[in-house]
Amino acid sequence: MGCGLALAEDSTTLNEHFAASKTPVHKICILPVGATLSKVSMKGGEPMTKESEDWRPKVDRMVVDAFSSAGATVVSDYSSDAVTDAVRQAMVELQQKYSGLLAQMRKRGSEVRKGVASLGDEVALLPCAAEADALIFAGASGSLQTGARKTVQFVAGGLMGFTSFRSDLWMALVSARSGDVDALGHIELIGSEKFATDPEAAYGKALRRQLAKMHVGEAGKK
Amino acid sequence: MRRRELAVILNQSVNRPGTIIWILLAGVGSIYAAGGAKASFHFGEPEEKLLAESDALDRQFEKDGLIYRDTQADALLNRVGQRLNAVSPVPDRVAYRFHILRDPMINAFALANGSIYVNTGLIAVMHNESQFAAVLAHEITHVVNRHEFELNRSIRKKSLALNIVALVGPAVPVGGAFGASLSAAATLSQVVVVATVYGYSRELEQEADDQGFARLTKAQYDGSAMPQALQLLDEKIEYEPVEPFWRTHPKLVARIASAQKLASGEHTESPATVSDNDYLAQMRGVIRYSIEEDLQNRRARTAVARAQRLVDWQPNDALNESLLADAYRGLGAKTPQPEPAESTRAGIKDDRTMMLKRTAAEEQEVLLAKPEGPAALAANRSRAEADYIKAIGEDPQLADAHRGLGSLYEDEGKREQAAAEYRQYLKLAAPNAVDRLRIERRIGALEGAPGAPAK
Repeated sequence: MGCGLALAEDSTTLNEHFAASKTPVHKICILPVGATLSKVSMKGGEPMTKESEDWRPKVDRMVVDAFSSAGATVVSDYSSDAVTDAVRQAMVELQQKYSGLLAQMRKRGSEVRKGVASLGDEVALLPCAAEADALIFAGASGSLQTGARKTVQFVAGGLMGFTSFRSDLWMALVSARSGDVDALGHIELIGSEKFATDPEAAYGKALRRQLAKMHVGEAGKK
Repeated sequence: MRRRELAVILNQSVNRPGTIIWILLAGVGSIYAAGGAKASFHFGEPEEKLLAESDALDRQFEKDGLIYRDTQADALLNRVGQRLNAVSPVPDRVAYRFHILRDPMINAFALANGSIYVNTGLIAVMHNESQFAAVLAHEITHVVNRHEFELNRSIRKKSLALNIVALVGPAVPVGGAFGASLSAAATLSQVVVVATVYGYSRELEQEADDQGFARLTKAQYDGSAMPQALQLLDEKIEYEPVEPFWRTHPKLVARIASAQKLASGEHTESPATVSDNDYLAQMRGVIRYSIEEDLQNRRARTAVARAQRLVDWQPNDALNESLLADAYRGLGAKTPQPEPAESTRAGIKDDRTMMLKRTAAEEQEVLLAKPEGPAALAANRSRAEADYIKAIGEDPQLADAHRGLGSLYEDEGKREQAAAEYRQYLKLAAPNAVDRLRIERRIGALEGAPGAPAK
């Protein structure tokens, strides 16, 4: 019961000061991308462990490629394991702080616009902050349905049944200097499983649109 | 599926999660022989899958950097664990491994494969080895009696559209380090999340208490440590976005009474001699880390309590004194102890709103707007400064105290003094100190244009 329906929404919220300054972002540091898949079957939802482990590097690669093709230089990609314990711990704590901040930004987008959403100068704990313009925090999640569940959904809900496929990609561009969230992007896909097999095809276009709004790779442009 | 929907299906009282009646697990208790594991246990596909999930979760915790390593703490944890395990044979397919997780939530849990995790938050609240052993004995009983497998079967049997990732959201709504272990578990194992947040069932938890008590005393620990440990879990210093079942189900008061009854009826012959001093000596690294964790997660009152305990234990230890100063500085305009009004329904609701909907800076603005706010801020800053100066007096080479004092002066707008303390920190800190760039930037901002924001 395949279906080509794929509704996509994407939103980009910019810090007003960042938007007004039009400061280019051309050196970035990417923190490990979080990516989790879950399955919804007739018995209920459950995590997809192996699939998530396989999906994560694909999503990470997609994010790195999007920034590179936008003209940004990736100063550091912390998805590799080659970091010291101290840096790893700083990264973990920063990501935890970001997850708390994201929970609030998702409820109140105005925090990003007004420039009050910030990780503070803790961003300087990462060595790459010395060189980068921005740190990138990204995370994706998606839920898939089993064949039986798809059938039930379609029978019960008609075309609306396909809205149960869903994935979200959240990405924040954080100043490597002040720790302020300069931009927050959200892409939501409904009705297609493509994100699981080919994240580039599913997210790529929307992500590149967002990066353009975020002044990524605009070095030398006025 | 939100907590309310799950509660309705499970016939749970939404407002009092401690009164869960697990329809799912009716009759499960009877399959266990008194005093231990079933004689034989069949590993079918669901069981193999759960074991695989457990192994994957072990790897995920490691990958996420959530495992806390401390030579002395790990040595104590493993010694106590092995002593408790020696009481009975190791069940099939179980390999006991004991780990400390970086998480301020007061919690411990066990996986079906024998991995047992204790959060830094729980270690920080225990007072001695026997109480710590009581917690482990409870968790080991869950493993021996295969409770996780039973819960897994029940969850799989029912057609509940559980979206565990969504379930964790309301349970751990603030993100951050608090509940980080739960958030990580949610991506891989629904059983761990359900067991931690809601518990197994009243019957199975009582079984874990009762048989855990038996294990504790057989291992020559004092049985009175179990009700003591439960009482310590009832700490109420500040609002917590989620309380694991440990503290609510069965109602903690009833559990404490039940454990006290057990302890009064059974006496360990020649119980091991344990002291608070020995526990603190071995766990001080964890407790110090937990203080920093608490400060990063808006739990300054908890940080004050933990730091004060260390100072009371070793009054002339400069690092303990510096941590206490950090904790008072972290309070801002908040009082070190909860006010009576905070224990009311309205007060709890306000705390929840503050934690979930306001940033730390906004929270401080609200506190400062109250009549007592400025006085509280002044008192906390004064106390912090005194403690930093005392720490530096005890050990002038303690880099952290200079950094803390620099931060305090910066908060107070004393730019020159702040920059001087930061410079002293950089002189004393290790060349590869992870926050060198951060402090250098602060000095730059302080010594930059007049009026330029420092941090």
